[in-house]
Amino acid sequence: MKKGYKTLIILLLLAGCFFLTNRFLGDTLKNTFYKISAPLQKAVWKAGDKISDGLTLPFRLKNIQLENERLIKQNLSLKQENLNLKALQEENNNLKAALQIAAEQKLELSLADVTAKDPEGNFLVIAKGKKDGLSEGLAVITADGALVGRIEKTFDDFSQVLLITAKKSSFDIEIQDEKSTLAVAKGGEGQSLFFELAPQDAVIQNGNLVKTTTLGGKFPKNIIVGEVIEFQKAASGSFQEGQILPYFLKNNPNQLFVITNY
Amino acid sequence: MTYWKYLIWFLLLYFLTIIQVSFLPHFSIRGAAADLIFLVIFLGSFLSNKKGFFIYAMAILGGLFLEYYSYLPFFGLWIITLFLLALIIRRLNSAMRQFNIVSLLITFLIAFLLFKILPLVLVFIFTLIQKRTLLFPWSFSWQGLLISLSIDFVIAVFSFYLYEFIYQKRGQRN
Repeated sequence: MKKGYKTLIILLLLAGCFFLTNRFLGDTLKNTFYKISAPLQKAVWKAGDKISDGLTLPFRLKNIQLENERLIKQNLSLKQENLNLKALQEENNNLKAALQIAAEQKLELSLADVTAKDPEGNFLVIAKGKKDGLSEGLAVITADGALVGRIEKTFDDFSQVLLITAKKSSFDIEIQDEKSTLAVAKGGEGQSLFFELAPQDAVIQNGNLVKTTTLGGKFPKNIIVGEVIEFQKAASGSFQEGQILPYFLKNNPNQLFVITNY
Repeated sequence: MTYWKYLIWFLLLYFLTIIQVSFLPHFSIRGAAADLIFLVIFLGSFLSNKKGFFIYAMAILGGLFLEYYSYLPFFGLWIITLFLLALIIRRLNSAMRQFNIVSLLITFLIAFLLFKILPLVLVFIFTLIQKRTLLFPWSFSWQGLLISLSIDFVIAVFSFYLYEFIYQKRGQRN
């Protein structure tokens, strides 16, 4: 057979193969080839990955350093964001709790940040004052509804809150025993709160809740003060006295609520 | 011996294909890496003096392996490309009757451009023949082409001198 015919036959065969493969077999052939080659390809791919990682490490060091710096900055920024979110969450929780109390007791509240505290623990400074409509004598509570004290002095933008544990603080209370005994609460040394002038026949027990009364007109009614943690008969013998654990000391609140109307 | 030769080259081309598609992509520069199958067929056609069908068979086989990982819309275009490439290199070799770095450079440039452009031209032709809509994206990066050209050229030159060195030692050419 002549060389020209041979070439022609080969070319025709190739054209036939080309046509058949494109029409019917292309995908099947590829799939089979991939299946057969897959284990070897995986191994080679992994090897290539490892080797290229090792080889390009010196070139990537600068990038890694830059990336590290970027991540440190991002980390700090996220930490700051996290702190802000926590503060917002705390504020949100406080507001929710306060709203509940306000709704229950029909109180009007004004939220204020605590900015300072007297080293002796007699008063706090809150970041709201005359401009915000605050005035002397208004009661201040925590988000949980625990009595903190009352505003003793107002400035334009700030107010001083006399704590119920301050030495010169004195107000009427109601001890939630069997009969709801009336007494007088007084501040003492080292952020302590005492009660006195409770009738002799009152059955006071540790754990009895202490609330405010309207007597004396210093605070609204039914604001929680704390609980009795100690009691005894007074030296005169006609009254009982003891110590109260003020609830506002349980936390170190950053925000307080001023009861503006009740 | 002939069958062994085919088997060895079959396995070699197969492994080179696997290396080209699974190993070299990790070392690519702007997406360009060495075209191992092209280099084997180019060097085989350029350096071998033997007449016969062997290099064409290798070109078809290499094309077939490339076909499996091809992005082209028709099966068989790489086979045609490499086959034509082997044919053209052989013709150029015969026409130049020289075997030096200049002839390598000229042949390589022609072969490389054919290798990169011919499949695209074939896609265009087959699309026209089949009256199909041309879906193949004609994205062409000069930067990638130049990098690829440089890598392949360095390997080709290195292989050429290595062959020369071995050839001188043997004292005869294939």
